[in-house]
Amino acid sequence: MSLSRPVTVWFGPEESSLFGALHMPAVPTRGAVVLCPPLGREYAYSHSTFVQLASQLTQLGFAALRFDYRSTGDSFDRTADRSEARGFADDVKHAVDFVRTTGVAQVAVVGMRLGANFASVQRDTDPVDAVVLWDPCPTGRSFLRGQRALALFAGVRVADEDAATLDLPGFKVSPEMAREISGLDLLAGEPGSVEAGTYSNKVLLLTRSERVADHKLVDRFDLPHVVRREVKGQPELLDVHDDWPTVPAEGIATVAGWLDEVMPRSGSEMAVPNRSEITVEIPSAEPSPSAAPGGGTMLIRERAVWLGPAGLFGIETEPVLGGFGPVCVFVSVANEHRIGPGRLWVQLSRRLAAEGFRCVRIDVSGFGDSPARDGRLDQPVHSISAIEDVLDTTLAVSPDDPGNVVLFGLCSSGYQILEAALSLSARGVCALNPSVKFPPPEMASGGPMDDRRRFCLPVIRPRSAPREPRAVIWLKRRFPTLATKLGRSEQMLVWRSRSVIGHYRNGPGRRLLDLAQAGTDVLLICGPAEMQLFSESGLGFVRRGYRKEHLQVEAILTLDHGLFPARDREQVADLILDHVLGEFHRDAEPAGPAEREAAH
Amino acid sequence: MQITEEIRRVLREHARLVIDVDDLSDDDDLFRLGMTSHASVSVMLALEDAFGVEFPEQMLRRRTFESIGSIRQAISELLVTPSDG
Repeated sequence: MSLSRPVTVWFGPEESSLFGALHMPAVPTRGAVVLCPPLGREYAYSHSTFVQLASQLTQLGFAALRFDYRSTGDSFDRTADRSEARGFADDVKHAVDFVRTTGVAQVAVVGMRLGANFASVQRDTDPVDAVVLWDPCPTGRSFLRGQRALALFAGVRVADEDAATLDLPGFKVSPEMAREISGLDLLAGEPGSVEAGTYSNKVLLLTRSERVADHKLVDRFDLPHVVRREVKGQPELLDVHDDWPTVPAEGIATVAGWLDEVMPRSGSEMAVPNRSEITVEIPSAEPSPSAAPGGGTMLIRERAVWLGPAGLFGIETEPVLGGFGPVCVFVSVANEHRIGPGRLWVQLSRRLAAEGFRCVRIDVSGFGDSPARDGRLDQPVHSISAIEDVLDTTLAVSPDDPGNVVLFGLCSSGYQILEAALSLSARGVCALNPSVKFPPPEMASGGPMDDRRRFCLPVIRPRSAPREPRAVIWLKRRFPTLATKLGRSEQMLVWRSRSVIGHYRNGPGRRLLDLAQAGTDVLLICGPAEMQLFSESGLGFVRRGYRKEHLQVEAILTLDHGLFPARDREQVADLILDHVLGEFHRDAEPAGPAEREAAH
Repeated sequence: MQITEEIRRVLREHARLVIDVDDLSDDDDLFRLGMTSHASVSVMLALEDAFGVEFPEQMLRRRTFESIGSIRQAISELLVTPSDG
C-alpha cells in the first residue's frame, strides 16, 4: 500500500492555529473522518498508525484529517493569557468545523486513548455521524497517573510533582491541561446510561482484548447503538519503552471496515480552503530591522515542503522579511517524527526563525509523513538512506551551497547528521546523544559496512553482560544509595582511563576532531554512556563545557538519552540557542563554500 | 490475609505473569516472572481502585511492586496512614 500525500492546512484560532494533514480520496468524498491522536509518548508511538489509517480511509472514499492539538506536534501553542477549561475538546471541535467548511455532508470522528476521550466530549457540540472510541482511557486521571508512574518505574528523572506543571516523559502538562484531562471520566454515571445520540447514533467502542479493567467501560456503553469489539495490537503499539511500536494492522482494518459499513456511500465534491501556510508573530530576543512593528517580535511563516527526489516531508519556518546565515535543518528521531524529542525541533525552529534563521524540520524516508525510498512502509532506523535523506535535504534547501547548513539530530539522527556533515563540509552540526554503536543493516546478511559510514562503531553480535558476583548484588540491594555513588565513581574512573588509552585510536571521537579541524562548527551534547564512546575513540576525556576552536562538547552526567525529562530539553535548548546565536548570528561572517571545501 | 488475597486477585487480572498467581510466594520477583512496566502500572491503578488508596510519588518505584510482600507492605502503610492527596 502506498501512502497518499496529504494537503497540509492550518486552521482554528488565528493566534494559535492547529496543524492538519488532510488526506483526500481520488473520487468524490463520501464523508470526512477526523482523527484524534493520543497525547504524550502515545502520540509519538501512534503517528505512523494514523498516517496509515488515513491512507486506508482515502481508498474507501473518505477524506481523513489528521491534526495536532494546540501545544502539541506542529500546531502552535495555546496562548498564555487565556485559561481554557476544555482546550483539547475545543481543538476537536475546530477540526470538525474545519472539515465541515469543505462541504462534506457526513463527518465521523476516530479517537485513540485520550483522543477518544476528547472526541467523546462532542456531547456539548453538534453530534457527528459516527464515532470510534479506540482503546479509550477510562478516566483522564488514570492516564496521568499511569504515565507518571511509567516514567518513575523506568528511572526517568522527571521533575518532582508541583503545582505548576506535570512532567510526563516527553510531554510537559500545564496546570490547565492537567485539570482538563483529570476531569475526563468515561465511567461517570450509571452503567448503560449513555443516551443514544449523545455522541452519535453510531458508536464503535474498541477495547483491548487482554485488559480486564475494560469491563467497566463495556458496562457503561452497553447500549443498542454502541458496537463493541476487542482489538489486538495495542500493547505492541503503545506499551513500548525502548522498543519499536508496531502498527496495528488489525485495528486499522477494523476501524476502516466499520466506517465503510455505517457511513453513506454517496459522494460529493470537497472544496478545501487554501491554508497551506501561516504567518504568526513570535517574540524575538532583540529588536531587528525586520522585526514586526513595535519591536521585540518577528513575523515568521510556516509551510509544508516536499523535498528532494524522495519527496521527503518537512516543515519550513522562516522570517517573513527574509533570513540570513545557514539554513537550520532538524532531522526526525527514530521514534519521533519531525517534531523532535518532546517537540524540541518545533520550539527551536520557531525560536531561531524569530532570530532571523530559516529552518526546516524533516521526516527521513519511511518515517512520519515521508515515503520510504523503496516503497516499503517501514525502513530500518539505521538505514544508509537516512544519511542520503539529510544530504538531499541540504541540496533542496540550499541548492547553491548545500554545505551552508547547520544540522540538528538526536540519537540515530544525531549519527546521521555527523556523517552528512563530514560529506558536505557543513557550516555546523549539533549532535545530541548520537547513536554511533549499532549493527549496520547492510551487515545483517554478512556484507561489509558501507564506506559512507565513518562515525559508526559496528556491533557485530550482541554480547551478554557479565554476571555480577553475589556479594555485589547483595551490597547493591542492601545499600542502594552507596552502590549508586560507588558505581558512578567507578564509571568515571573507567571512563577516564579508557579515554586516555582511546585518545590515540581511530573512531567517532577522532572523526569528530577531524570534522571540527576542517572548519565545521561542532556542538556535541551527550550523557555519560554516549560520551564514553567518543572519549574512547579519539576524543579523550573532556569536561563539561569543553571548547576548542570549532568544537564545543557538553557532557552532562544526568542527561536522559531520549530527553524525556522537561528539564533536560530546556537545558539542551539553552545550550543550542547560545551556541547557534553565538556562532552564526547576523554579525558572523560566513565562510564561502570554496573556503570550507579547501579546509576539508 | 484479606489484603494478600485482594493483591493476588489484582495480579491475576493485570500482571500478565508467566506462572499461575496461586503458585507465587510472597517473595517471588514479579518482574522476573514476566510483569512488564506497563503491566505494573495497571496493577498499581487497580490496587488503588481496590483499596481506595493513592500511592504517593516516593512509592512509585519498581521495588514497591516487585513482590506480593512489598506490595502488601506498601498497602498496609497507606491504610494506616491515609495519604494527603
